[in-house]
Amino acid sequence: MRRIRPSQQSIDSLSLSTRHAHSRLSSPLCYACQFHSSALAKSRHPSSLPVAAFSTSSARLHRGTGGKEPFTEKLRKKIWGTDDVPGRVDPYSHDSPMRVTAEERRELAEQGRKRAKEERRLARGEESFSADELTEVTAGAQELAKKGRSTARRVVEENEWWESLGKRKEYEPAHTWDGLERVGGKAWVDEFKDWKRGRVVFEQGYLPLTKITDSTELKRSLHRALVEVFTLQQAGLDMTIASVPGEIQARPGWMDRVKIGPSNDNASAAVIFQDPAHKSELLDSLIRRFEQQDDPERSLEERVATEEDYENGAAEELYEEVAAEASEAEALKDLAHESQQSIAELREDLGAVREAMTARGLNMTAEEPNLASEKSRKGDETTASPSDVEANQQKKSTKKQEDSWAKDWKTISLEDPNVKFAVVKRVMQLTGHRIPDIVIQECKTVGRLFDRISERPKPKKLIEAIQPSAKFKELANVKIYNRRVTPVDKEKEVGRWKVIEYALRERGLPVVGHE
Amino acid sequence: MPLSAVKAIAKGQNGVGAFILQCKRLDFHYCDWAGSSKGMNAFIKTFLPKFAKQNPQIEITISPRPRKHPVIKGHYINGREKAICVRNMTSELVLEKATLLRDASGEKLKRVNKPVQSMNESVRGIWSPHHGARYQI
Repeated sequence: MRRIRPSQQSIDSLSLSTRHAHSRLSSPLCYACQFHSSALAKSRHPSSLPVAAFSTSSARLHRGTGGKEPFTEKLRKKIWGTDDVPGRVDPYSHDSPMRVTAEERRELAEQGRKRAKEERRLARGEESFSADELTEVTAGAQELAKKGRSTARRVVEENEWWESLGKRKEYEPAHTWDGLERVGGKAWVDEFKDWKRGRVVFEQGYLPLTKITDSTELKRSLHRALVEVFTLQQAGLDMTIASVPGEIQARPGWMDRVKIGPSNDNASAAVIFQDPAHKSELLDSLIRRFEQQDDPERSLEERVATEEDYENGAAEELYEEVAAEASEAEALKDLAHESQQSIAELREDLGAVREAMTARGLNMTAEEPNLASEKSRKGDETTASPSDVEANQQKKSTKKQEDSWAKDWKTISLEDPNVKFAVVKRVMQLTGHRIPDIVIQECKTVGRLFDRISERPKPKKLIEAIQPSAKFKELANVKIYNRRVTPVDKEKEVGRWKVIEYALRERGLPVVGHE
Repeated sequence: MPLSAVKAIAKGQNGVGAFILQCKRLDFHYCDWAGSSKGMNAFIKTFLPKFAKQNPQIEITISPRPRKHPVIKGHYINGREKAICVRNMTSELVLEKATLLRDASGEKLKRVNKPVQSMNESVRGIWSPHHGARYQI
């Protein structure tokens, strides 16, 4: 096998194309360093541009003047094996690309521009440079100049900004609070709210601040929400009308007597009003509340056009919606009218009843039948014994429950997402419970929803379970304590505690450790 | 027929009439919250009334010991105490432990190698070389 000497190996082919440049410039000894010392590579580096011939660097000065060479220069020459040493004299010099500050960048840009000019001039004068080489050199120089210009511009801008800052105001520490910016106050709060934009709605609070935790009250709120939503559903109206934001109106007294339970097909709920007038009254109040919440001065068409224009681009859809809303509004108005009529009729009836009663000489107003009956019940309670009162109250609450809930009320379905949404929203508004998404998703029936929003009863203590038990009462040898038996208790049992206490007090020591 | 005295022979009752249970009191401590008391609480509800009825000579106290494992503590007539931690045990196991404490003597546990042990002195007394028959060698 023929051996190729290292000097003839293919790495040499790299230098072949630039051999003519080598002959002109220095020829390095080391092949590994050829890239750095080749004319092409040199030309790319600002320090090794042909302009370096006119450089006034210290090394050249020393050589030119015949002065004493520094030790580092000697060392470099020895390393490279030639007098014309490539690369920088000091790789960490101020103009080294390793450390270029903003100010130096400007200088460099300036130098680059000068060098580019020189380059062009040289290219014109010296024919011996090849055309390719020259174009490359000039392109590099131009690029450098461009970079320099952009950095220079940035530096100038920065300087201007700093200067403007300085001109604007000198910093002076304040000694009093006069004239200082103030944080707080109503105006500040308003501004802050505007700044927070969308959060204002949440801060106003859709939910009441206090949560209802009492189970009975919670159940009543759930009942109210269900009655409202399902009445609206049966009337063919939008169920979310029930939960428009705003003040929560007082619960009407007859609400407890509205019975609600699952419908026959189990898909919805059956709402049974004792008095049909209550139904119209409920619808009337809901619609009135909805109308109050809506801005009355803006027409329906306008509202739809402005609010929903962003979402629905198509004009046809808009028209359809407008028409649908208009028809709904008409239906609402009709319903309101009907309900008002029925209320007026009811009032007339009540008036007649009142007249008849006054004619009979009864001292009871027809407007407050509930109140009167309650008064009479209260009168009964004052004469009854406390145990009877409790029993009466229990009976009343069970009676109320029977009045308001049908047997299988817990199975009322919430499968319909619209119904569920309306019920959940209204329950949240009435109770102040923030119901999480996962709970909403999981609740398929009213019973489940109630279980999730009502707190679990506290676990019964063992003592509560065994103390009233007859099994334990008849045992003479068993003693039950309702709290931890302490060392003091043990001393008391054997009659030693008095002595101990006396002795402790005599010595001025604490009787029990935790005093 | 000559008169004869009535034969009075001591009956061997073997201590039956005078047996005293060594355990005088059992304390049952439980926690309402901790899961390790689950078995103990079930035991107190279900087994304890019967156990107390069967052992009327033992004083039984039930008291909570919050944030601690359940413990049965036996007090004995020799003045010693024995306590057994019954954490995470089922109610049946707790009953076993209660029975164990009831039957215990209150003494420290010792290794028993002899079949018979007695605290009484021997009737024959301690052997002495100066007494008894003299042997002629």
